[in-house]
Amino acid sequence: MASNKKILLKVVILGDSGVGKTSLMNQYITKKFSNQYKATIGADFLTKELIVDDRAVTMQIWDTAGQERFQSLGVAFYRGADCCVLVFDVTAPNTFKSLDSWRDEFLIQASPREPENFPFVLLGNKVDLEPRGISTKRAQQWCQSKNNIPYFETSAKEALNVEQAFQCIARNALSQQNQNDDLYNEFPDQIKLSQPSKSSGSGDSCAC
Amino acid sequence: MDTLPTEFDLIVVGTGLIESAVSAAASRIGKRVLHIDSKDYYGGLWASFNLENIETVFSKPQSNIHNAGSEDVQLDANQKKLVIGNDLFEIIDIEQAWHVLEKDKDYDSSLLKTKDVAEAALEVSEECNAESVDAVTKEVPVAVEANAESLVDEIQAIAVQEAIEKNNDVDIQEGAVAVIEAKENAEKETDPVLEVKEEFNATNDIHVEAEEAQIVEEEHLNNVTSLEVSAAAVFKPWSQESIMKQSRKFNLDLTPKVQFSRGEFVKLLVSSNIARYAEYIAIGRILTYLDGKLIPVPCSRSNIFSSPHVNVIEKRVLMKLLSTLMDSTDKDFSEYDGKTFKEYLQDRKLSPELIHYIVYSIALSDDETSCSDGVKNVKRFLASLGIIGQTPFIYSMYGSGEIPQAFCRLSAVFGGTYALNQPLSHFIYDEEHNFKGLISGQQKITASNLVTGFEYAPNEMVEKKEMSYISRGIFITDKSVLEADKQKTSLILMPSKDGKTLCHIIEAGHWSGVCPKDLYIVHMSARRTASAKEDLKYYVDTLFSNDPNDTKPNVLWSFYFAIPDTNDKDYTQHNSKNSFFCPGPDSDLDYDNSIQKASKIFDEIYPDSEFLPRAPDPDEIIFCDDSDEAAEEVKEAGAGDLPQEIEKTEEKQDSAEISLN
Repeated sequence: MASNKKILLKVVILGDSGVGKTSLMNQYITKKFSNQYKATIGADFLTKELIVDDRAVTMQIWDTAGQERFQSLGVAFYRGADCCVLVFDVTAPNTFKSLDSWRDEFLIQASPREPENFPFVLLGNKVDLEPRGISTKRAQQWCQSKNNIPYFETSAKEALNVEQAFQCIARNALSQQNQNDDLYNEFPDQIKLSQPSKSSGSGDSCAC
Repeated sequence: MDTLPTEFDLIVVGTGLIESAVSAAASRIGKRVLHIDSKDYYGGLWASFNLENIETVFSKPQSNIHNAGSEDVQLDANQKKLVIGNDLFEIIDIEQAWHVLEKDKDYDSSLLKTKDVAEAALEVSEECNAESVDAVTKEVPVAVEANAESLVDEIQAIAVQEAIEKNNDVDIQEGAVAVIEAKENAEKETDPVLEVKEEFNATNDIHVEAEEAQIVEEEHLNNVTSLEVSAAAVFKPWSQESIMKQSRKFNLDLTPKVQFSRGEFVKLLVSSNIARYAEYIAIGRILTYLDGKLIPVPCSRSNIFSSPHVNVIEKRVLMKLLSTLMDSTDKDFSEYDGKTFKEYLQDRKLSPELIHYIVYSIALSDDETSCSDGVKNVKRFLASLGIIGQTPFIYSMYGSGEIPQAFCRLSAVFGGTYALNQPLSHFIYDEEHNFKGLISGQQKITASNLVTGFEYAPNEMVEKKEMSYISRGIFITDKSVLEADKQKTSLILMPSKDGKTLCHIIEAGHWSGVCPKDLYIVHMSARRTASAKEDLKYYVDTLFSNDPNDTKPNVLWSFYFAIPDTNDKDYTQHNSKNSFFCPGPDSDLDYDNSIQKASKIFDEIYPDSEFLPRAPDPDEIIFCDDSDEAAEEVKEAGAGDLPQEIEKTEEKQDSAEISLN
């Protein structure tokens, strides 16, 4: 695929309710943090233009929109993801225990071509809070056991490591997409509907 | 796991298209919505499945509706419980079959012992025996690779002998009759000559092969037709194993639909901003079956002019007619009240070919469609031409099951609570037939209104009358029905032999995200008259072939079923003013009528609100760090809506705030 083509990366964030998925997104994109928890409302996907390895990319970060709360994320959510961010709360061990099932769920639903090489990034959020329930070492061990997933300890509240984490996420997402494009262009004729006036041709030229 | 909140404005049960659209619309205006489903997947009868799952979807109980724990739920004195689900709604005619051998290795004759292959082949032949009468015309269970000829002969001999032994009392005469009939048909019938001749030839070929295999009882041949054909074939062998290995690449629609690229449905998707949750693919061509072959329908201006199937004069006539119809008003056709669209065209002195293209393809009609409906359909068709690609239609990537999920996503983004796989057992009503809530597990959840898919309607609220059904067939094939230089998703519109009904057929390939590379998915939908398999037999026999060397596709896997069509009649009977039952899928090609039904239900519940106004873009949502209020402020693009929008958002937050601890 031509390298000058606009690159769109889809990133999905998974993890138990309340670990700070939406806060991390918001901190990264809008540099804002709200201390008050509410089940995710209005959070859809956020978009950021950035430069990764000298290439301009658009990163779309998809929130779960709260559908994870009762294990009701549909397969459509996972479609075409280039990177999966797993989040747990370092003060809540049960959110760490769920990571395996979130990872499995992603691999089953998204069914990436090479599951063992698909880029995940793990974020241990809320490091500003005490007491610590999951040690750095334990999280790192888990990452090692999963084919060396990159691990960041973050605080959405204090903007700690958030920028760095998403840089890494973007880079991994990009490399995933490059690999796919080099192999073969799977869906060349895909159409996005936007404004009715500027419909995109699908390779076929307009007829009438 | 959290327990569900227990108080809502609206409970939506079932995640079919209509239910999901109502859910999205209600969440969008700030209502507290619980959207709940007893299934563990989205979409109900509108869902798509991978190959592994679709085989089990109808085999387990159709929902996990049960009573466990419900007796512990306390009701008010004047309340009663109605069991969720009814006897009227049932999926029937379910019949799934493989037409390839089980294992990859079964094809690898060099690695195999004769016995194994023979056993595998026997399986196939047994399948044929079950329907010996149909054997001549049956779609073929395929293919044993026949590199080593002697081995194949041996296999054939063994398998056939075993088949014969097993079927001593088989309907030999019936088998023979089938051959005779095929011959007679070939002589008598003039209409589908080509088809019958092909069958006839195939039968002859088999005779030859059979002699080579030194088999005496010719009458038995029909029982093993398919085996003979397949054993002699040499082509890329798919096996059940190799196909199942890629099970997850399949997205098989229970209800395949296309969308008019400028129809009401797509307009709504775009105007409401729901379109961003799905991707689409153009339907690249429309095919019809005329004079014994499949022909691309000339429908766009450039198609008409470049079509080799329409001569110069016809091109002019067709263009003129289409522009006349486009500019026409109802009163131009007043003299055709009570007459059919076909009669109108016949009076215009059009050639039979042009009439065929217009009636069955451009007007999406059959011989009995009224003139006014036909004209209306033509206008609709033409209005969506030239938007995307060569036809008026688009199809959703990864299958039609994505569409309900797009609506659910919007509902969730606007605060809708989603819970799949729930143990739903009862609806709660008071003595005045008002819906009060439902029971899920041991939880009682209340709401002011109920919107539910028809399949969940309690027996007390449905009227037992004869149900109509839609016959469905899903086929995995090994090539396109009409090979083209460029991969194209096809819509095939085929009238029945008598022209009285139109079968909708969609063929899609891996580029649509519905199957692995080198395979095709074909969906057939038609009104049910006999059974799914019988209703579709004509189309299957016409489009597919038994012969691996044929240019027609071979069927590798088939799945028949029939789903209730709850659209043409009202099957509900109740006096509940706050209960709304959504019909299931209809027999239309597209979603326009279904979305209208959703809009109507929404209007009945919330008469003063707009149905799915434009949702703000994600970057229009600004998160404010106000330590007391922490309110999200939504900046609406339409300036006039600004105050209203903020108000709605705040209202929603009040209702949905949940404390962390």
